[in-house]
Amino acid sequence: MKINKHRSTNQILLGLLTLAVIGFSGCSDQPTEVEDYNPEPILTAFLYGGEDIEPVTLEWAGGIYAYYQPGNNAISGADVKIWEIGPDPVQDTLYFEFNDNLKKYLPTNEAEWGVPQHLRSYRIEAHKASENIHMWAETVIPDTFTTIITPEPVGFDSVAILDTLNRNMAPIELHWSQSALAAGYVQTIVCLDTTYQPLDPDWDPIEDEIPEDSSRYSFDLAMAGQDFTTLAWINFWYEGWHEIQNQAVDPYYWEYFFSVFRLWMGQVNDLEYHMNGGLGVFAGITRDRYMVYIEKVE
Amino acid sequence: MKKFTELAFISLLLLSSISIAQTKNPIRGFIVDATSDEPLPAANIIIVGTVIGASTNLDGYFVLGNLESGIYTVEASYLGYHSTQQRVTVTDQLMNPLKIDLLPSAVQLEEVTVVMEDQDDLAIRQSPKVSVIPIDAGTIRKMPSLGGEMDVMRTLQLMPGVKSSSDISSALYVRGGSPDQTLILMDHNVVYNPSHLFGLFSTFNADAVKRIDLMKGGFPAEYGGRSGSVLDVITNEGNRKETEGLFSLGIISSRGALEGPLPNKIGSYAVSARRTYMEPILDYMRESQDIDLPSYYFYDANGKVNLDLTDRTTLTIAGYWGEDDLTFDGGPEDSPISVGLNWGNRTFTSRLRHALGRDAFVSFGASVSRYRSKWDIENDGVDLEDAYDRLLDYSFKSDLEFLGSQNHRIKTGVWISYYEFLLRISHAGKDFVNVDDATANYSWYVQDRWRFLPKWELQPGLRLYYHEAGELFMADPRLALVYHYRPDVRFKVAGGRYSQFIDLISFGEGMSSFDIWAPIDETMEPTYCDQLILGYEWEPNDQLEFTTETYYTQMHDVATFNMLSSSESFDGSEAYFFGEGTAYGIEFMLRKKSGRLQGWAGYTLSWTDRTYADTYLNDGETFYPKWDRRHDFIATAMYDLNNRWDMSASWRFNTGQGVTQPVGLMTTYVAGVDPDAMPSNGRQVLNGELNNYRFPEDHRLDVTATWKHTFFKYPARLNISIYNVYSRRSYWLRITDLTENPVVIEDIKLLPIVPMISYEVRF
Repeated sequence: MKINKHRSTNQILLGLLTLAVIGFSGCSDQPTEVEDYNPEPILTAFLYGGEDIEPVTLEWAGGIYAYYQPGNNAISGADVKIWEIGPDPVQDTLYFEFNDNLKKYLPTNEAEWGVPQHLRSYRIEAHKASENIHMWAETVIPDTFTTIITPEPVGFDSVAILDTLNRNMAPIELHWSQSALAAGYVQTIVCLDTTYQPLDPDWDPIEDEIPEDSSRYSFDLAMAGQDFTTLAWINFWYEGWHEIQNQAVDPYYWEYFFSVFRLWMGQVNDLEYHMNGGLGVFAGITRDRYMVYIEKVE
Repeated sequence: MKKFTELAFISLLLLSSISIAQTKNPIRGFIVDATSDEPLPAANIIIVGTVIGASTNLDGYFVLGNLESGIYTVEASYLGYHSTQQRVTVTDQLMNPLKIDLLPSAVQLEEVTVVMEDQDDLAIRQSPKVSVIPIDAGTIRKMPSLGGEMDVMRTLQLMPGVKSSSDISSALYVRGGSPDQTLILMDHNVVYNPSHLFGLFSTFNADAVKRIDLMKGGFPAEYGGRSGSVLDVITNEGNRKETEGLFSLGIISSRGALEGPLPNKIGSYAVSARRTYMEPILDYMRESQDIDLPSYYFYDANGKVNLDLTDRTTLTIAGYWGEDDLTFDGGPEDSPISVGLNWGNRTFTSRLRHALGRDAFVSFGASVSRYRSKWDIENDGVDLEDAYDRLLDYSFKSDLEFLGSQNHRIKTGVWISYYEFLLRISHAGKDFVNVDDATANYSWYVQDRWRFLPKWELQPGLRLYYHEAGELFMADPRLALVYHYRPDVRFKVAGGRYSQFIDLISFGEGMSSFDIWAPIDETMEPTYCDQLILGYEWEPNDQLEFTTETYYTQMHDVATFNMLSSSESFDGSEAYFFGEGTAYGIEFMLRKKSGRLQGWAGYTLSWTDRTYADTYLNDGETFYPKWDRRHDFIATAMYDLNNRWDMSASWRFNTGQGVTQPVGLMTTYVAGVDPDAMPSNGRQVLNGELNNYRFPEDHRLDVTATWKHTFFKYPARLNISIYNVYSRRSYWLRITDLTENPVVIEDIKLLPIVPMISYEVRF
């Protein structure tokens, strides 16, 4: 076979030169680690229709490698207020003041202002010019609705109380009517007992350690239009009093909560905040609350 | 729609008439496997000393036309086979088709005569394709494997321009595209989910595979329905001379295959099957260590029958049946949890091929492809989640191919697909998502390979679509140009538009059991890509081939699932985000195709990005997807040490994958819940930009040694493979341990060294 050596050599040299050029060009614009993160302000407030106002938190995000204590990052001295928006507002502005003990903002004129009203829209604003904080968000509070829980409550105060249950019994069922303006329903289950006594009959209180840093919280989701769910026993891990809430939530909070769920599943990178000027959530919620004592079966 | 159908049939009739006008003095024939008589598609044949060449069609048929009377020497070649030469006399009378037998490379020739022609006299190959990587079954069998399972997809991942998302994924990311942008065909039927064991293995049993063509881009108009690339898998037709088979025993699976002629020589058949048997191992671990472990298996089976109905008509019936099954029972005694996952593909393909005269072929195919997945999670009899997803694709295809002219090779056809899409996700007995939809997609194409000058070849094509949902019309023009600068050097340009009417919803890497394929509905726009490819090919001799290609792809309306969608109706416009993307890069590949030492070395420099404006995905800003890798170097080698030992090795070095780096911490506040009741007191990471950090580079060496011997007179092979020889574990995930304060960031790595052994007997 006759091969023109010069021609081949030139081709190889040209190829090597091309490789070198593009190799160096490929070394540029590599995505790099973000090292200079500027913490963002986080504003959080929940409005429950027909219920007393809860404290509002305003804080800085913490550094990833720093010891994290939420109160340490609280932002004091901000101008925080909530007022009703819409064509025919009936409530004036609700003002908040920073409480140094709680590291949260508490309402100052709650008695005159009253409670959040169903089917009404509200706006929250937080300003602190010296730290360039200008945040705001809006929400709407869904209408009242009725939840029928099985087994039926045996006592009622501000929170309905169920009879004592255990995991050998039929699971709790919830049926509810639809709430106008609700984007979905969230069922929260929180064990109020902090001694962490597992319901698992195989758990030995002497040999087995009490789980550290365990969650006492579980939840369930139901889309708008859904009117029934069963709270499986997998949601109850510890002996003691539990609070169950069935929450009709506004569209922004529904997206926020869905993103929390997806973030925990590792399926999204960030939360949907709907908070302008920073992070956080401002939610309008109407809820039914129940208490139940879950006992362990040996 | 009516006009569309008319257009398709007119084109078929037109080409039928063309086929009657035959040229004079052509050399026609079939190229077949000498050991089994199986036809060899896409084999090359040239007339030595001229610039005339051709490649065979799916029936192994070729036509070399417009020849003066005389004596010619033709040379036939095919990847994985010894080339052969044959003298042919052409007269002014029509000659009977030739039959050219090629011997597989694995069969040692007693005496090899290498005919070395003057380079300038070497004939130009007919229609070299742009961006096509052909792989024969022999190469797949020789390559190192994970778990002793020869794997088609993992072999493809060793090609320049093809990336994997991780060591445990067999999904193909071709030239910046996502796995759903690759059309995967098995015997002309679409396979929707080509993986087993959460992506660890592919569905293609290497024993059933005859040939694979990976078209990385710029593919001709005869292929459609995906916007990126095509993987065309042709399975064995079966030995037409004698019955043969194999049985292989591995540590985690076994497989078997049988093929042979049908009675009275009316055709051939080939069947193969494999199944894992990890259940006893898992059972033992579950009982001996008292831990909750799932039970898992997968199996698949291929079958193909070829019937020679007449000397001009062949009927092929092929099927695939595969399934993965995982069950888990655990949790506390008084509140047990059970999880069941089941997913798999089934395909059925029938194809009738008929020779119209001497120079035209027509084929009609009817096929069904089903992908189904279901999962259910129960707690103490209460349905926590119950899901059923199914895509049924009923397709009809017809192709007409005209080979009668030396300067034209025209092909046209129609492809009609009817999709039935079912998705039900229920929660506590109530439907969360409930979709039962159907739509149809019609497409028609025409293409030509036109040698308009001795050194210039043009491949124009057009594919038209009509998608029923949304009444969408799309036109995909395609064009390729090849310039034969010298007999050993070619320049290529290809480009066009590539549309896609079906999307994949994937809930996580490798979690193939949760994959959902859904055709686009009336609220969506199809994804389409505009591609441009420039290529250079140099064959310094018969054994070596050097190719380089650079490409640029602009992607439009690229769909990705909106993880925050919570719509029961599952409207496409709510379930997906539609964005833009780009992919560009350059690839180099040096391949040694024959001889005792074979293999290739490849390097890819590439970029790909996505932008989903006004979405939560990186706040609408452009980002690099996880599979974006800047540098990728691969070297493989297969060496026939002697008659008893084969060795092979592959080494890969690539830029680390992108990972999202947490940059801050915050408390997750949830209505009605004190953060103290939540895991880690509600502490939660704030993430930076999507994939804003890169893991360290990955590199890995895999080796295989095969001992060939006889077992009671039967040929046998002992295969010893070592995956990740120097145990360099690749980075996979970055997790933040929030239970610690300050938090601890950990990197999760994948598989260490994995030795495997398998034993195969052929009979």
